[in-house]
Amino acid sequence: MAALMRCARFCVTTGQIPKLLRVVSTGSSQTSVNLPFQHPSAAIQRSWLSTLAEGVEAEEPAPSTSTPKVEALMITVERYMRQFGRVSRKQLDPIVSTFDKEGTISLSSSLSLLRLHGTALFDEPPASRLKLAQALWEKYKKYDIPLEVGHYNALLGVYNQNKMDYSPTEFLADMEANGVTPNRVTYQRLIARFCNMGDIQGATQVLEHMKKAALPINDQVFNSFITGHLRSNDPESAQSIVEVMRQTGLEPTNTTYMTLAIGFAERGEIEEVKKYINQAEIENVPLRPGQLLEVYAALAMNGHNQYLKEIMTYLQNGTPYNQDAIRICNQLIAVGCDDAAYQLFLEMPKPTRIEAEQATLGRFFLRALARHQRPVEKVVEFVKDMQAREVNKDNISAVAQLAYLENQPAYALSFMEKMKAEGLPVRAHFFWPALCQFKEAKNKEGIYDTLEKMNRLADSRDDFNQTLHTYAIPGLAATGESEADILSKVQNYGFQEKEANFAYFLYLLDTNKLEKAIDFLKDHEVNVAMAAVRACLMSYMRRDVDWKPMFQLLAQLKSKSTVWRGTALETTAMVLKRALMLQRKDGWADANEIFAFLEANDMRILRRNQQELAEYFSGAPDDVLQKLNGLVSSDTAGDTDRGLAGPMSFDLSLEELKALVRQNPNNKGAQKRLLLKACGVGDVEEAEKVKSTLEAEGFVFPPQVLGQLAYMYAMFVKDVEKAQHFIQELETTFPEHKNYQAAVLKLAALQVSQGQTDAAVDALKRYADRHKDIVEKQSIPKPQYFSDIVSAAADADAAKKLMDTLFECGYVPRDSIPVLDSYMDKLVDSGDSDRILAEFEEFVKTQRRSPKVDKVLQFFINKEDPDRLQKVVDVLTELYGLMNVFHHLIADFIECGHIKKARKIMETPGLRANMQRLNYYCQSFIERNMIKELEALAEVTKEMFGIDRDNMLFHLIRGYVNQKDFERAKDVLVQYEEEMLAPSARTLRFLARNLETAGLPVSFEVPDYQPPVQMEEKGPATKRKETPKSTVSQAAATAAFSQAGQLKDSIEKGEVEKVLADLQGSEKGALAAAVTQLKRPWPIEALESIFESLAKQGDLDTLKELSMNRLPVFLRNSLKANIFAAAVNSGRTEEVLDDIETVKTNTGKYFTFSSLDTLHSKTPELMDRVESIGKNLISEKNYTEPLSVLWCYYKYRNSPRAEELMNEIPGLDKSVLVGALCDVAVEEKKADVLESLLKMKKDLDEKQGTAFVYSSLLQLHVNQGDADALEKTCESIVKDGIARASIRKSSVKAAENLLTEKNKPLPAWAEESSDSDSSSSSDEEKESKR
Amino acid sequence: MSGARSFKLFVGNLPWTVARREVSEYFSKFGTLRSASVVFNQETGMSKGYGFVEFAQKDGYSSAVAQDHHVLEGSKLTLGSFYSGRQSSSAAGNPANQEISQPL
Repeated sequence: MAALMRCARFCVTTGQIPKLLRVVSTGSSQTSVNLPFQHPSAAIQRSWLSTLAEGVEAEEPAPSTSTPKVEALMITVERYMRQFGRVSRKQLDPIVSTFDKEGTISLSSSLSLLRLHGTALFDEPPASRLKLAQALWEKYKKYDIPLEVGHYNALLGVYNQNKMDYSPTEFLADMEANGVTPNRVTYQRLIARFCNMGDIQGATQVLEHMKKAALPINDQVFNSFITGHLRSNDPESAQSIVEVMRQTGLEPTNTTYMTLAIGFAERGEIEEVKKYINQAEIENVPLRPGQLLEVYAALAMNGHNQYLKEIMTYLQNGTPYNQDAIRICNQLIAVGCDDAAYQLFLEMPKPTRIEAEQATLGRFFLRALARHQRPVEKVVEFVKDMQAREVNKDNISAVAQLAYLENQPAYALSFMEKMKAEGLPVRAHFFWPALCQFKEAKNKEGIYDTLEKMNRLADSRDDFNQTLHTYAIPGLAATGESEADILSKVQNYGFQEKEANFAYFLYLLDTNKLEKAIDFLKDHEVNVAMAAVRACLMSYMRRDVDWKPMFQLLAQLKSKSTVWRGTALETTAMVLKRALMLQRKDGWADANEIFAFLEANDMRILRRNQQELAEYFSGAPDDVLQKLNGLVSSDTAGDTDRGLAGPMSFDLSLEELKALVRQNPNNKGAQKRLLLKACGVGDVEEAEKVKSTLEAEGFVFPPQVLGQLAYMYAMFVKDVEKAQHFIQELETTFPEHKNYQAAVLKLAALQVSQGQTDAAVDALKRYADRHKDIVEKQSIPKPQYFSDIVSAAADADAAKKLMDTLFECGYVPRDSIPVLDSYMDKLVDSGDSDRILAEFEEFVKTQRRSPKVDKVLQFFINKEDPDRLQKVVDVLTELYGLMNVFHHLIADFIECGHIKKARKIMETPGLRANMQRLNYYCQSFIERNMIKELEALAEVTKEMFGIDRDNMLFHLIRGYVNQKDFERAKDVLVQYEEEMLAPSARTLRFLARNLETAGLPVSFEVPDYQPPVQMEEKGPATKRKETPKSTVSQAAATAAFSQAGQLKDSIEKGEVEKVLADLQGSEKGALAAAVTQLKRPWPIEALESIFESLAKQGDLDTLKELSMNRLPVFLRNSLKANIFAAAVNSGRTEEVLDDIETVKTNTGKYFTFSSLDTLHSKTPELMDRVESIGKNLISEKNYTEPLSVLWCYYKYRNSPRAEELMNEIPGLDKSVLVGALCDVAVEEKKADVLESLLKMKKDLDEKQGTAFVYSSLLQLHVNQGDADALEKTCESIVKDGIARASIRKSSVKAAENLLTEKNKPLPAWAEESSDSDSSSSSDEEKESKR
Repeated sequence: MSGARSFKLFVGNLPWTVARREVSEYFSKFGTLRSASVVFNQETGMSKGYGFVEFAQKDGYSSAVAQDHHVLEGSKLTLGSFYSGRQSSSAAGNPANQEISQPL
């Protein structure tokens, strides 16, 4: 104390104070209280900002330093630190590992990084922070990072903050040994260290040293001494320091008062604590929330929880403190003060409006518990309390998830036990993260332990096999476990030998060990699941894998399978397709061998596979196609096994089947299929015909046919007796057969419609009794079947009886919307108000369903029954909230003609437009031609908050257009003006297109099509136009973003099928986003096949989105071609033609033969449009390419239009590029086309062009093996004076080979003439290559 | 164009406790499903929190989209309607095809 007094006297010399303060008080209160930004913790702030005081140049780390990655990471973390006053271990780890990789770090970053290992590292306890800091220090030494005094001071700071007991003498000696001289900060921190230990004597010695060295003393030193005195049990001296400070001219700061409060808090003297907190207020340096929370933590950590509430009262002045509270909670949990932390969590200000079902507050708290592996029972207690208080709905499974996120698999597994005990679901996939984390840690026992727990705890064996092959086996293999051990040991955990073997086999396949997988199969018995094999083989389909091992693998699997159909056949087809693709490149060298192998092993494919392959390889030699045809399985199950589920179910059309039967009149299978198909689609005549043919031949109808016949008589013939007859026959002949539910249901519907309700009920019950398992699956057929039965009822009572039967028998769940809808329909028709209300209320309450809600509302509106209407509204409000219900009411009032009442609802304060609902009603009015109601809806909602007026008026225009009232449609534009609103491009384009179609003039400017992605980028204003949509689109954008990465990976791996499959359900923009992330070089092949597939699907929008990306020219061209193809396929050709016309570029790339072909067959009238675009481009821009392509197409189709065009457009003959046409002609063996082109080129006297066409002609003859024709062509080439060098080399060689082979003389090639181009790279060639 | 007519939905905000079976069970009540999936990160074993369901018919799809809230194991799901979302973005193309969900 005396020393401090002396020092104080020493440091305060008149006139020196202001300067001293300015230099040393960077982090102290005198300046900081005036700073606009107040850091949560002064201690941290000081350590952070005191660079100046330490004599280190404060430099903002520049992003462009020599080691960019670690520096960039540091910048991010520092920014975070400044914002939240804390960093997590997860943020630091990647920096340290990057530093480790790069081996270098800038001076300032090395300092900052070290400093982050103090209290700022909120989610680690002091001991582990110290360990990390020391490890980092060692790394600095290892990589020769220059260590200056600042680094030593930072290390001291970290030591102090983590309460480490170290020897100051040794530390100073180490500094000295490294040639670093301690500075003022070093001494300050050493003083702090002594004081923290309560060693005043040691601190005083350092102070004396500082004095001798004439180093200035600042408030931090005084604060340290306060702590020192308190810890050495001398509170009086501590208290008197404030006075000493004042004497030296230093004003106590809020840190001073915090230090005092903390010191007394440690001692549990709450009155003193409060005294100093109050004193700080009086002195106008109030403790900040973060500082108050430090006091809170000091009380808690020293076991004085009884006073915690008193500290909290100081926090309730409205200053936000949640970020500090999160830090303190973490610190408390790290040292085991869970209750104090929880108390703080409960006190933290919470959002005012949270729905109990959605509340997830306090995840940080649960996460901290998981991170520090707090006792399970305690955690369960917290979770339950949070649930009870409705702050967090999570059950303990959330903690298990958080434990995984914290990489604590063993702890997570202990929660699985608890979950099981609590009756919560436990599923196989809950164990997957544990398997991954144990794999990462190379913890073999951990993996086995996880399997043991999964086997014991999981509710079902769902996903068990996937667990084994995707997670457990790769994990075990990674730990070095041998194959034999894996296979035998996993059997201890509920896996059979064959399952284990199969999983191991899949693992080998997955890890690209094809040969090993084949060998493995040879001497292991397996349970084959072909779907899993198929998934594994997908990745092989993009590689050039030899066909042999692939088919050997399948053959082996076949020999081990009891059933080989459906997926197995499709897999065979998939492998075959890849093999044939490679064969095509190699000139079909091994094709015969492949087919021989398949035949020998009786490996078949489905009919639809054959058709697809035949189409894909349409240019293949005939014998290949024939053999392909011979591979088709006689078993049609795979072709039809999709049942009623989807459009793929009968992939041969009725006409195709008829043709098939005509061609093979003795093929019973085909006849059976035809009969099934005819029954299914209701071609009664055909069905009867085939049926009698088959009957005459003594064919025994299989159960499927009987069921289908019953279906036909019930559904199409409406003959109850006949339908019943076939069902009876089916049930007596094939009592085991189950799948005729559709027939039973259709028959029931028919019976009901004929008034035989009771008979229908009996039939339904009988089937349900016989085949309870099928009924309870509730998987077939579609809900419509059930609703039809109820709808057919004559009155509400009958409907109810039927509905109850369906529910009781378990055909449909009790909340099935279509069924409830049908019933409610009947009920409302009955007009029984009480019953309608009662049952509607019942459905809402018990099933959370509101069947026929609009009809019910309208019923009471029309009845003018406000009481019941109110009741319906009340009960609906509970279900959907007032806003949604109001939307119903608005539309229903309008529909019932009560526009005033609808308007009244609009006066509700806070009413917000829900565009999804409004769009629905608009659409509904348009569909029902209710234009008055549509007008009223648009009018009434005019002032609605959050309304998308453009959308509403757009619907209005659609309504008028739908009624062909174009004048009023145009008038809506005036309404736009009245409302000071600009119609969107979409609206204008829609109106313009329809006006044009109607032959009316378009008097306004029509904007270009802009893909939606761009529109969204325009800014938040357009995004937020309507709230409900914007939340959805935000979610969608997030989803798109998250999908993009995955899509990108798949594209790069060339997994086109996967991309397409994922894309099916992905958000719009996901693919475009993925393409922007692609690394160069471009995966051209994959992208092109994606484009092609999208075009086939008619997915114009995705392709358009893609066209906004920067792509290399060839990809852009491919994209253009596919955009047009997609437009043609989706019937949106006009839209794209509009675009082409407006952009006016040389757009020949859009048109391809195949898309023009489709266009020609689908909408021939649009060919004229394409033509006029082509002509305009020539006349306006002299772009010939588009028309040239069109001409070639006409030529290819042998259309007279080609000739006409030539006559119409002078000079077109000179500009057409015939490359593509020649190629197609060669491929399709159209010698006549080539001859005609040849004539044209000769007439034009174009030597290059002539030579080019000749090259193609030669190739064609070679392909056909026609030596005579070849000889003739060669002769005419010679005659025409075309040099050998002008002809494409490959064609010449092939021609010469064939001629030699057939013992024909080689042509006497003309001498190379000076004007012929020998480079064989004419425009046509280039064009062709492209 | 069976691809374009696919009744497929993106299902987001799935809790980690949910896998294919749960999603499938939940959405089957709206109609027959052709497929259901939940996407997992094979490196970490964790669910990515989203998946897809594909309905066999439009009815099921429409019923699912028409419902205001979907809550599965305590999480409010977000449905990214592949089919209708796409339509709304391209309403200019052919608004007559616009798929508009039914209310409630």
